[in-house]
Amino acid sequence: MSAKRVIGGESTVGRALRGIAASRKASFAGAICLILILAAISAPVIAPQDPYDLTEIDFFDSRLPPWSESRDGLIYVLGTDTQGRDMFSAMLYGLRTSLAVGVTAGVLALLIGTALGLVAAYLGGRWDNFIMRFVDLMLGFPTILVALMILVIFGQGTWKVILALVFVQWAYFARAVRGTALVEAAKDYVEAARCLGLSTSRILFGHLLPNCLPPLIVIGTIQVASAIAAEATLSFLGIGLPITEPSLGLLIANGYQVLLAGLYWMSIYPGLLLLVLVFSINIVGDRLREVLNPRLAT
Amino acid sequence: MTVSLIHAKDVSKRFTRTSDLAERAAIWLGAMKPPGTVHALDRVTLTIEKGEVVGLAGESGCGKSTLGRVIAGLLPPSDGTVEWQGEDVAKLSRAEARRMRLATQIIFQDPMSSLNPRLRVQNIIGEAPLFHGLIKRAQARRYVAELLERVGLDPDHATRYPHQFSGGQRQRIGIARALAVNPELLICDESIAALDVSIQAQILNLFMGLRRELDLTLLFISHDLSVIRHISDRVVVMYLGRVVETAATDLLFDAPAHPYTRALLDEVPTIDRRARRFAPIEGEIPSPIAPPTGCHFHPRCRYAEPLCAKAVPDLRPVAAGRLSACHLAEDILSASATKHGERSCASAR
Ligand SMILES: Nc1ncnc2c1ncn2[C@@H]1O[C@H](COP(=O)(O)OP(=O)(O)O)[C@@H](O)[C@H]1O
Ligand code: SF4
Ligand SMILES: [Mg+2]
Repeated sequence: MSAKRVIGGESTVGRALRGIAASRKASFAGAICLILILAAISAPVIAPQDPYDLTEIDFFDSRLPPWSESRDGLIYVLGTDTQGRDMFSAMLYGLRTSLAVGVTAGVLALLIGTALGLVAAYLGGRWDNFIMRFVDLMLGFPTILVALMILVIFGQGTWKVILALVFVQWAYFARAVRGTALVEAAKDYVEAARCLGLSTSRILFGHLLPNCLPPLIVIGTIQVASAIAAEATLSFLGIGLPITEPSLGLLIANGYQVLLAGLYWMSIYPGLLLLVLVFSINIVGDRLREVLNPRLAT
Repeated sequence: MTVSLIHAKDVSKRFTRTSDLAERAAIWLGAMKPPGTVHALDRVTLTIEKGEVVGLAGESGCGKSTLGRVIAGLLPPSDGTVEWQGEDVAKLSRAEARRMRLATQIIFQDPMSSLNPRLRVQNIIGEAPLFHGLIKRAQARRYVAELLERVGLDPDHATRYPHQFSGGQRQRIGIARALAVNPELLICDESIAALDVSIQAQILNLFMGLRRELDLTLLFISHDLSVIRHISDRVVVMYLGRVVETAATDLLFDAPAHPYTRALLDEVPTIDRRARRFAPIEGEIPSPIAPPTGCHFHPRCRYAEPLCAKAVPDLRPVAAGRLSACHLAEDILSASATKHGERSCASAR
């Protein structure tokens, strides 16, 4: 009875949280994610300095190594960049931008991919063929290459980066949702819903979708990490976000220019933060995959 | 004359698997054979009168579920018409079509997959009547409780999820869900086949009780003849997409008028006299993609004549209230009747 309850009963979210709590590695990674998310949200409050307020930046403090002290007594824990910005503050703001872009892109891709995947599975036939051929095409191209092409064609900008990321990511969601929805749509409860005269949208979103949640949560988590990494890559290459909203990737790129001059802190610390962020999200994602959908392969 | 509740006339249903682009290329290049067409229903005519319990029998794959789904309006027929109370269903207005759709409900076989595992029982049962405005939101709790009671479940369990119930209880939930939209016809598609034998009897009794209380009409689909015999007023026997025999239950079981029915009824001797078991018929069920010519049953029929492989036997009256699709129906019927006579003599002795 208790085994039965664990398998079918708990809500998907409950199962996910319990699964994470049961693994020490995943709980640790989850805690880090949580801390980073909180830090990003509260960046304007906890950052010692607003790195984009020119009145707060002292150009004479540029290129200071970690633990240097400013003239008005502020300690630059992680040093300053070439403009005299506090690296720690810049990284908090960069984390904020990276997470915002990654999560926005992930959520939009999830919404679009899910809707298309459900439609393909439920309507079948022509719709299915058309949508899935497009998905195959998208999955066939390397993510970064497609995103690069889009940005080269349409130019830079935060929303353009997000759109490029959504464009290359929705297909993963569509494929996963369609697979699960096909299995679910063949079950009698869907036939019963049709027999009860419920509308197509009600069946799709009220009955099929809730039963497709597990793979969505898993893929959603992993795709957010991958969106953050992709955005960092684009920004590093100089075609990502504009300089007015530097993400971690842009900080790394800026620091990289002076790395060989021995000013390591400007690129290494943002790099480490990005690594920890992406790595933690992926560990959580892998754990979710184990708990929610053991057979799911990406 | 009163109109029948359901009149399916010459209904055919063909399934052709659609091939996608890659497959079409493969077929064009000769690397694949074009997909075959399954004739799931071949000019089936079936009438159901109001208040009747009609048993639909036949081996698995003969088209019973397909016929049920066509009658329920879930599948459009490839050919032929379905009339609901004398009106062609295909020509109904939207509102009428919806009313008819709700008036026919299906009770499914698998008590696990027929309930949405993510919904509470109160939502499973209450969703459709709310959606169609049959009840108001404030009434929903009361309405669901009444339905749960009606099917023999504890109304306090309305907030539970399906997995917290046994197979028999889940089947009762499925019945309550169907009753929630005030149906007139219940199509029970192997509704008790997946349950324990002890539970089967309970659910059968529930169906019979509901039929009496709610004046329901039942189309009871089963491959199990003892169940069909127990519950039906009239039996329809199908073979490979065609109706082969129709008769009142007693008449059909006493003296079948079709060799296929006769073969189905050949009993396996059992120690327990009350238990009836029926032997499977010898020979493979032919593929529905390439069914035999003439009478579909001829490769397995003991009485087959040369004519049987050439001409399709019509479903025709052979006695009062009896239809059979066999060239030799009259002979089979009289042979059955004699055999039955012998059998009752034997049991009398
Ligand atoms: N959606 C479908 N697509 C293709 N073939 C189908 C479909 N549904 C049923 N069939 C075929 O139609 C025939 C009749 O099936 P069915 O009505 O389920 O039989 P039964 O309920 O008597 O076991 C079978 O050969 C089955 O494979
Ligand atoms: S028509 Fe011929 S083959 Fe078919 S059931 Fe009758 S006797 Fe047998
Ligand atoms: Mg069936």
